[in-house]
Amino acid sequence: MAGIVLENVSKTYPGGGKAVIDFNLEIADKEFVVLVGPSGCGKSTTLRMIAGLEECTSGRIYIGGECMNGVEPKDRDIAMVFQSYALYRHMTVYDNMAFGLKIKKVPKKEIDRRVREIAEILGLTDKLKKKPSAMSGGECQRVALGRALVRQPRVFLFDEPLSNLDAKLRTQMRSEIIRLHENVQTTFVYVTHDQTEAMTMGDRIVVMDHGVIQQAASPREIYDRPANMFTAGFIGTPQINFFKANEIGASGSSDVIVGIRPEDLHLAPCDGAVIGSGNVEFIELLGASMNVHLSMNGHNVIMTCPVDNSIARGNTYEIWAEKGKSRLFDASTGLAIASKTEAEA
Amino acid sequence: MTDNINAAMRKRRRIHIAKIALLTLWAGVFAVLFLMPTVLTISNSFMSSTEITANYGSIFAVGQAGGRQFISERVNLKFIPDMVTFKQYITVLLKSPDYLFKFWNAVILTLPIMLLQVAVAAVASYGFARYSGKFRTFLFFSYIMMMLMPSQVTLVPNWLVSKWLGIIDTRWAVVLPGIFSPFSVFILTKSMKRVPKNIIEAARLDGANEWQIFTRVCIPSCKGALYSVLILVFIDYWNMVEQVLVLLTNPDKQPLSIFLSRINAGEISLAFAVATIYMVPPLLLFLHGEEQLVEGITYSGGLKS
Repeated sequence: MAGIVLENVSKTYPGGGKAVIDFNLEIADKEFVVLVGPSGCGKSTTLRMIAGLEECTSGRIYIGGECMNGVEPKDRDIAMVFQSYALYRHMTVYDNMAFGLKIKKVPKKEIDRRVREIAEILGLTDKLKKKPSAMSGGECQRVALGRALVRQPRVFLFDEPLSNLDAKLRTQMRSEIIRLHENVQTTFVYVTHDQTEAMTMGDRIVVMDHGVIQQAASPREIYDRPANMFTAGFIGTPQINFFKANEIGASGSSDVIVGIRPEDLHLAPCDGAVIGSGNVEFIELLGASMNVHLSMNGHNVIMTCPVDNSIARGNTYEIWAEKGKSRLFDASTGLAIASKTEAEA
Repeated sequence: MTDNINAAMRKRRRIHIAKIALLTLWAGVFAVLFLMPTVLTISNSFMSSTEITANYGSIFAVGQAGGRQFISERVNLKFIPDMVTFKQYITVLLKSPDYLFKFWNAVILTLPIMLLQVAVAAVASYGFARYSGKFRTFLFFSYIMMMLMPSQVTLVPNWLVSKWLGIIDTRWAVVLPGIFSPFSVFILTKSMKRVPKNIIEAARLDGANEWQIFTRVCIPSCKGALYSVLILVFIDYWNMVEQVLVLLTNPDKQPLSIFLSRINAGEISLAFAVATIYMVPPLLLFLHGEEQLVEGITYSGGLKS
């Protein structure tokens, strides 16, 4: 078990492209941290630098208090699960899981014990003799997890491990990984571009964009009090609605941007204020709830509400914003203006 | 309306059948052309000496001193023997150890070339696939250039180097140049590059060093390509003629491929039996690894890339 510290870490590629810029982060021992951001934001590069698969251009990386700069990946005592599973295709499930232990010359009996124990936990016992080519994506990812687990490393790294799976398997594997973290009590660093994964899995989320940390906080904190417009827009589905303050009759000038989450908007009177009237363009039915897309003074507005058959396409409604649920941002910097949510829109 | 649709469907079906028939005929003609020499060799190996002389005598009579007379003055391609006999095989395998000796010469020349060439090519291709840089690009480009050259071009330099090393007329004169083939490196590099980077990284994280990644991850992943290179190298050197004629002039050390071209002059009746026996090892090798050969060539970018 070990904590991780990234101190002023930067990565610049030979062509001059900056992948990570002055990255500072402390990950506590046994913490589950999720790095989230759009493609090319530097999250995978950061993970690969922790793994030692890429050297950082400047800064220092510590694992368990030891500086890892220049240390080979094999000597960092970490395990990594890749998006593409990265299983050895010519080996059976058993051999895939045992490979790392064989390399370390762990006694055969011990290898067998550990592989069978982990296979049992992951439900792979009857598949130990199979080759990856004869298995489904979900099973392959479980083998990849097993391969990481048998080594009992100090740190687990996950590089978008669920991206190749279908929606149902993704949900299933998500809960398996959460359960796994609770059982093994080891530091997990998880990279994803899927904000649902980030919100549901991490003790802490690190939102990145253009190689820079936008915000590092608990999922609740990130959702309720985003540090800037990027974080507010990236976390949350459907995306938050942004309005200029003066356009919706809120206090403040056009330099202030008001962010209101879709679930905080209503088409019926509530404890709040009317921000305008909108015409329903289309409705997305999601089962228990629905997303209503409205057009308000040329703005596209999305609101989420329980299924209501009285709301019809083409009709115009007053849009109500719930009291105390709006977030204010500086239009020029994009940063949150107040840590407290604004009471009145 | 329905009649029109049915008529159109019938017409399309007739055209489709005609196309298939034409393609089958075309493929059939080529199959016969390709298979004929092999079938002819095998079937003729069961003919008696007299029958072969009667069928092909005129070919071998040309330029022969002594005015030998042959029954036939025309070449008569015959596939079914008048009387099946194993006499030629008995002569080759039991009565004349010379042929078996030459066969053995072919084995001890081809096997080391095959195994060492693949070993060297595997290591070189791993280097080409795993490391980048200007030097690598230049070196790989040089390899491609060398591959495009006909093998005869390098015969004189090979002879000069062998002479300088004092190995001329020894098996090493043929084996050593054979070990370093750009063709095998090219094929295997293509295959090594197909090993996903993530798998190599996973092995590094699992604690494997460079040699372990090469032997335990990359080599097994390129099994198909390795096998196809083994077969292609074997066939290439099993049939070699020029290298041996230039670098290994001692007839006692020459392989059966050289002997086959001479055997026709004197012992024409044995030629078919010897050729059939000579065909067996490459054929067995091919049959054993046909699937991997096809897979290897396909995934290596093919011979024509």
